Amino acid sequence: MNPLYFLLLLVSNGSSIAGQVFFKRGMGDTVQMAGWQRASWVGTGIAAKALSFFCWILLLYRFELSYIYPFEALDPIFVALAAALFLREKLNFRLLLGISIICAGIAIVSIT
Amino acid sequence: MLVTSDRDTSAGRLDHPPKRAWFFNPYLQIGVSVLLNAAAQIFIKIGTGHTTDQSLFSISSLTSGAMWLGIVAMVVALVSWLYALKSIPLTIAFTLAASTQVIVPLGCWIFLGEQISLLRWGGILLVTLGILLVAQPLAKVEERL
Repeated sequence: MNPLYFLLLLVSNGSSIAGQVFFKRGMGDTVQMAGWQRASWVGTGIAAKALSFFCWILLLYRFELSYIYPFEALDPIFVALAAALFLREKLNFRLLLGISIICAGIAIVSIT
Repeated sequence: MLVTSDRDTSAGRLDHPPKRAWFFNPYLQIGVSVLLNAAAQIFIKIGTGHTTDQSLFSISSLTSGAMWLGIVAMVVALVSWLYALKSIPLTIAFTLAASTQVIVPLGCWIFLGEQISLLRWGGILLVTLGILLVAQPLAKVEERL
């Protein structure tokens, strides 16, 4: 995979993770906020997801789906960190262990 | 916090009344979202295969029916996902959604004829184990309801 495609993969994953955080920020029922505020968080999330989607389409032309898809599964660890940082979600040992095993599995799938 | 009244089929929501129809269980909606997303990936891969256009954003693939099916599946998956996020923490929801990583390679193997090596099967197994590890305490919470 050359650097350009790697960058495309980074943009695709980064905007996808940001999109998830925006979605949760807008949808979470423990936070009080006006309807338009929720809509703008979700809207921003959709924009981030759309960017991610177009980068993904470009990648699909070049690679087999079962080869590039696993890269996206490294996301759980980044999503967990982003959720802890920006949404103040609590992480516990079991959760982090499970996520690490998932990422290890993905790493194996990615290099084979 | 724990509601013990009726042990009906819906079970499993800590912060909503158990009277809601089973279909609105947020964990079920994560499952719906995962399946539709996996289907969308496969449809889109089929859709991109229908064109030789290599230009940016690949406009000509929009003439493919499979591409549109993929897009529709993605939109419905998003609605289910947003609904689930109302009550499930993002970390948990996203980890459960990692099951997409198992379903997509399996789908590619079954429907697109892509090859899966023995080592890759091992990776798929690890992902499954990790998800079970995270999901097990959730299942216990559901049983208690």
